[in-house]
Amino acid sequence: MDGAQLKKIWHSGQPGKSMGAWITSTDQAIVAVMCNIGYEWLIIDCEHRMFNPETLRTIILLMLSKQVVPIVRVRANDDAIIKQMLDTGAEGIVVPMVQTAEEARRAVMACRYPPEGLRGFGPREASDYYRNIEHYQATINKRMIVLLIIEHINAVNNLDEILQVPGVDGLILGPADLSYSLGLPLHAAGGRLHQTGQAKVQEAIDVVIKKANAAQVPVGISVTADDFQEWFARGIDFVTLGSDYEFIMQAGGGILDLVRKATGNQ
Amino acid sequence: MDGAELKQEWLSGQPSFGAWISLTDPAVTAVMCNAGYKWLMIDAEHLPYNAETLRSLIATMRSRDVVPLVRVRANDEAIIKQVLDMGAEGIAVPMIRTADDARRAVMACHYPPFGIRGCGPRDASNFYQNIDHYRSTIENRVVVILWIEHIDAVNNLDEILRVPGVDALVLGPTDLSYSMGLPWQITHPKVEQAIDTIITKARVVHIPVGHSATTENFESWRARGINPIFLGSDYEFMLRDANRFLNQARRAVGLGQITVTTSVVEATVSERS
Repeated sequence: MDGAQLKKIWHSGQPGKSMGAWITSTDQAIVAVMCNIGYEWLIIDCEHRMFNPETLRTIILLMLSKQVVPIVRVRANDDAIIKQMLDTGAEGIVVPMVQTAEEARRAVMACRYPPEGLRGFGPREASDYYRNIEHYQATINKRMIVLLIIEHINAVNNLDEILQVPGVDGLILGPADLSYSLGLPLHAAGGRLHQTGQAKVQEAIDVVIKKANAAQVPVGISVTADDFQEWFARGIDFVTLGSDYEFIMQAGGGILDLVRKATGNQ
Repeated sequence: MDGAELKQEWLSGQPSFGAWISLTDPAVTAVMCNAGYKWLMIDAEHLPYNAETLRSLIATMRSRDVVPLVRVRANDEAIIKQVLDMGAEGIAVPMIRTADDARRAVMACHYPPFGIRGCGPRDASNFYQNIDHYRSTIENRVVVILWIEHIDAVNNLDEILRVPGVDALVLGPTDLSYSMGLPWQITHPKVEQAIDTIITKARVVHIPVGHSATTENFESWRARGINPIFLGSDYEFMLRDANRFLNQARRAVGLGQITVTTSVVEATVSERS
């Protein structure tokens, strides 16, 4: 799988065709196992997690070697950071907290060579140390995936202009931050952590999905086993199913519970 | 050698050969020093490095009397500060377009009143053991190198060259060609002409212009006035020699040769010119 094929699948409106997950851990064995499980694309979360830059070199190369599309969520809309990730072989960049068309344009520019963008030349790991440089240069603009996280009400209000920015390949919804930006903070006491279930958050999410669908820009979200069908029905084009540590927690916790119950040790 | 001597070498027109560090292992840097290079530039622009790896590579170079230069990922004083305080003697800043960009880079590399660098040269002063020597010499030693790789920089070159504290320029023909709407056509006459403009204007004001070269073209670059010259990078040397010896052995036993591209410079020149 490469970025171009992935974008084609996302455009087909069949979110079940190719699903992804998040990498938050630094161990390359975990990344290898996530690839072996069958994920065709993985997003490394360098926004909320701190990764040594050299660890990113290692795990991006590992994904490429297993034909898994490496996507990186960077910590900021910063062309110097994005440049390094792309040159290391990332095929996609996820930019957090985009609020305006100007910010969307900046993200796209950082990911593309001139004349459309301002990426500098030096795709070393990305071209297998220049061995595949012809192929890389000829295909990368088609393969490159630029994803914007829509997680602020300003972005929802500016969505028409954001969707008009050429080179935006997809949106990802960030309901928790979106709820904060709507004046619905973390629950102070009891109940659920976020107020993402509130009507105005859900309405904003539907606005994003409808507008993205109309503009034929794929829109994605993180789902759980309980809600993925609802999201598919609401018009979501691609989904992540969770992250490495969550899978460990769920499966590891699940079997521990099961055996404890079965042996009367709970 | 220190930065002041290096600048003297570049200014004197004496041929000055260095190379790139792109790998993370301090052993590779040590071997590159042992190979005889007197200055090395770590490419922390395109390649992500752990901050602590940079510390150890810079310390390795210093301990071997090799001048540590670092190409940073952005014209950012906070990044430049850390790299200088680790002991880098010179900073290369990518994608300079204007005199303002150039001034910002120079300011980040110098202490007040000339610049805005904050005081904290820990590794650089051998943990303050040599602090007096460091403070009294570093302003002369620090090497500020600007990458000229956008046509805006060529158009603004007169002003850029007037910025006090610019110690050298380096050519970036590939990005330059992109910025001129001639992607990857580094031998296009317009790109060649822009390169000649840079070399000529810099020579008038006695500012050295450096570039990367291959075994095939380093002499022609020297003839055009390029000095210093980057002879390649650690991984290219490994690839080239590993491949050369393999082919030599294969030839000796009648096996076919394996062709590799050893550098982007070669790839660019051979496939696009």
